[in-house]
Amino acid sequence: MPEDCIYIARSSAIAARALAGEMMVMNSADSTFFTLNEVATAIFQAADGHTPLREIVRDRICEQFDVDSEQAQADAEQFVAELSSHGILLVSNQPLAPEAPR
Amino acid sequence: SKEKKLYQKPAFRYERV
Repeated sequence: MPEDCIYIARSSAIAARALAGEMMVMNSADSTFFTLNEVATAIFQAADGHTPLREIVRDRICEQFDVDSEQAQADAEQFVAELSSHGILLVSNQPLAPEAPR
Repeated sequence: SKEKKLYQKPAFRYERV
């Protein structure tokens, strides 16, 4: 998938709460409980389905954290792929409509 | 000048309940 065209959205099958800069996510589909670190939380919170991942990295990660854009982009792509495999994030090369909560 | 926070690779831990 070309890196310029990655869109991410949160799954509707999850419940999430932020606590002390970290995000706790429960996947109701398989009763799996996730805890995201601060950088992962920033990406997760920006996953609105219509902001490209590259913009999220540029505006949220590189603005707040001491990291170069290439490293941040590579890490973000790996991260969203992993969360997608667990059903927490939806990943597409086209904008995603936010799912209605179940 | 805006001081940036220490970067940590985005990561998560999980457990199955």
